[in-house]
Amino acid sequence: MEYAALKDINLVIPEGQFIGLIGHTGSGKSTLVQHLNGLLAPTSGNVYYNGADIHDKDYNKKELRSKVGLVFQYPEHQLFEIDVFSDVCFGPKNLGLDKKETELRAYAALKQVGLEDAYFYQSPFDLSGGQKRRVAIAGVLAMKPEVLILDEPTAGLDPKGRDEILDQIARLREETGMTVVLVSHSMEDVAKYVDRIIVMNRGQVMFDNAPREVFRHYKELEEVGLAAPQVTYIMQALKKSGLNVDTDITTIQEAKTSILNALKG
Amino acid sequence: MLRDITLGQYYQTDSVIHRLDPRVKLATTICYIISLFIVDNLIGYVIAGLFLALVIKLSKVPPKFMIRGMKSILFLLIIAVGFNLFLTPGETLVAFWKLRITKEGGRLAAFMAIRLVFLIMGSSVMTLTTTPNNLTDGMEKLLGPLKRIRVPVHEISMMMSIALRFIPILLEETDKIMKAQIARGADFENGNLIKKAKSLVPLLVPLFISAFRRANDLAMAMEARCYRGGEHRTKMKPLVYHKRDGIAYGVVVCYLALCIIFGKILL
Amino acid sequence: MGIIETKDLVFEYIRRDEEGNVEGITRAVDNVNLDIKQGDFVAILGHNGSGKSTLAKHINAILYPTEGTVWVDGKDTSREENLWDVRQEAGMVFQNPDNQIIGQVVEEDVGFGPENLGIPTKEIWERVEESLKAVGMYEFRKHSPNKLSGGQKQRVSIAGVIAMHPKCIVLDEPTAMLDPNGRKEVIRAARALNDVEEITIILITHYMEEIIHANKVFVMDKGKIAMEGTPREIFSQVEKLKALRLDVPQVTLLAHELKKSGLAIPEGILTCEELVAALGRLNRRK
Repeated sequence: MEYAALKDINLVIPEGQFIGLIGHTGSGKSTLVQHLNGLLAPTSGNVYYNGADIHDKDYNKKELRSKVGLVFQYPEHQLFEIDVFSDVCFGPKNLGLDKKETELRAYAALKQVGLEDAYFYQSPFDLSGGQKRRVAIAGVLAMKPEVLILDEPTAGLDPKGRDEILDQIARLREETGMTVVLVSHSMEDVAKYVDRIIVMNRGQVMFDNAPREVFRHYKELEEVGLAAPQVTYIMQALKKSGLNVDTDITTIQEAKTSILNALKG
Repeated sequence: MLRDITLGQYYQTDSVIHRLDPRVKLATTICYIISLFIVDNLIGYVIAGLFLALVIKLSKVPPKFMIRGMKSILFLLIIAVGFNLFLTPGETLVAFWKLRITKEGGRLAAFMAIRLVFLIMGSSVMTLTTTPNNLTDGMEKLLGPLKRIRVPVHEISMMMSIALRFIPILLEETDKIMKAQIARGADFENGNLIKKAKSLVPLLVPLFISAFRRANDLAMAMEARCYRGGEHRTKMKPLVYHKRDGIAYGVVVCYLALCIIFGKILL
Repeated sequence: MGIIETKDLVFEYIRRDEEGNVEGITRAVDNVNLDIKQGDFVAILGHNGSGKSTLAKHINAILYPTEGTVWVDGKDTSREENLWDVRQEAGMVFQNPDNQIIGQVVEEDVGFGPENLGIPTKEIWERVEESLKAVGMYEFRKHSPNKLSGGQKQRVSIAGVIAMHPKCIVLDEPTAMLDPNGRKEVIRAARALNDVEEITIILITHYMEEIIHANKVFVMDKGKIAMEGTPREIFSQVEKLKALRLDVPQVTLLAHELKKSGLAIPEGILTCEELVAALGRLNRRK
């Protein structure tokens, strides 16, 4: 039983972009990101990193994986070391770096995810869910990737934990200028962070545009089991009720301004 | 790749074989395995092959499922065949370099291969047509008399059915953890034996932790649903022999008789 | 007395070091008093670690109170002779869909509970059928649970509980690991049971949009009940919810923000229609 999990994917990801990759379970989004660091090889077609075909015979896959860091769903399930710090050292150590450089990188990565020093020598299994996830993300960051891909980084966290992780990722991107791909099934979560949204459905790219452009298709999105942020629906309904508001809105703040203006005018 | 193991994978469809009592299927499988070791001539294997083909046909399971299951024992098969082929003394057929294939070796190797293939296919027919729960029920019932000598038959069968349910989940999990560690630069393929063994730590630790967490969750879920061992328990699908089961037993006896007559005594 | 009642419920975890000495005591549930009526749809909210799951496990007699008492249908859960009655009357659905399905085939899993209760075979089949129909999973009865989606697996788990004919079902974060579609499926199934079968539902969650239909909401923090009321009463306290590490639906948040900037709209707006109506009134008045 063979079927195409991905079909006709043509994407260019420029350096430094912040991308939201959206799709429901089984849409192919996780399969797609595993192609980006060479964990999966395409049945047909090519994947290029910085212009080089990653499936060329002499292409260094190991180096690619350090450049394109992939954080899996529930990444805390991959923790195994005796303490947090050694776990984060695992990645750089695999790259063959010396002890000093490894530890420097691990330290920097743990700082980047905002974990306090007090936790460094604790067993990763004694931490809370949100902290474990930070450690796991640090484990990938310690390889100093140029592109960071996170597969559902907020799954299973509570609302505050979710916001904290997303804020941390946004800050990280600002500081380092890293390219970030955020895989999610929630438009609402990513809308306020990303520059570009790629919507996947049945292994194909359905939309690929700026968030406000994508949300204009809220009806089509609904048909494939995704929803635009609630605020999009509110603005559409207000417009229909005769209030002259801007329907291309993606965040609460914008909505507030637009409604206040409409009521004034 | 890991999903290719058919053992313990139920193929859902409706057929005579699916409807048979699991005790019949268990007994038949055991008889079939015995029969494979009784016969030692071509006619015997033809009979065994026809019997297997008939059962597979009746089971309505696409044969490719069984062939897929063979892949997992290919390595074993090659070794067994190789040993028999090259190491059996006797009349030389072909010889090159230091290796020589004898007539007896060829015969033994061929029979060994047939035996192994039939054995695996025969047992996968059983697992493909019987839900593991049903299978363990059958086992529980067949082994029932052992309860008297304090063998925890119910607990063993419950453990087996849970293990079977979680094997695919844990395999998938293994695959996921492996990928996650490869993404962190782990190398599971290269290096000498010690290095390879060491490289398994990042895979096995998370896997064990996950297995324990699952076991803990499952135990809680079972308790919450009033599980308290085999006592006071009724069965949703109690095992009752039907007419077809009697017929099946008859067929198996005939088959065994044929095997003994043609596969052993006559030639 | 309601179907579930707790009085001064306290639960403490004792942490031990490697030698088994007591390192410290964590109070996971701290003086909780609940009184839940038969047929209610109750939501318990709280961030991770607020004690809501620990509380839930008391209702099913998986945990016993350190202090205080829990009654299910008038039966004290800490008394051994009540154990099986309590577990039968208060069913429980857990978070991870994979770790609570015992059967290899959907219908066998649903039959597991009744088998444990010693129900006669014929009746087990009837119960399995009605339970699977109640959650809309009857057509999947012969399937392997491994092939189902997360939402479907959770519905099977719910059916497994219904088959035990409980008076109340505790759902402990049943949607935390599901995608939006799966979440909707599960909540719809829970609401239908409440409406049609009048089974008391206790839904533990941190998704705010799931509690809109509850008759009563409890918000937990640090093991205590921090807020309690109808969804509207709860949602009208946006700042307090934020302080408790929870968020509010975007529509409620937007209404709150608009109110803060001086518009005369009511607090605790729950749906898009309500906001449109409120703004419509303002627009006409102008």
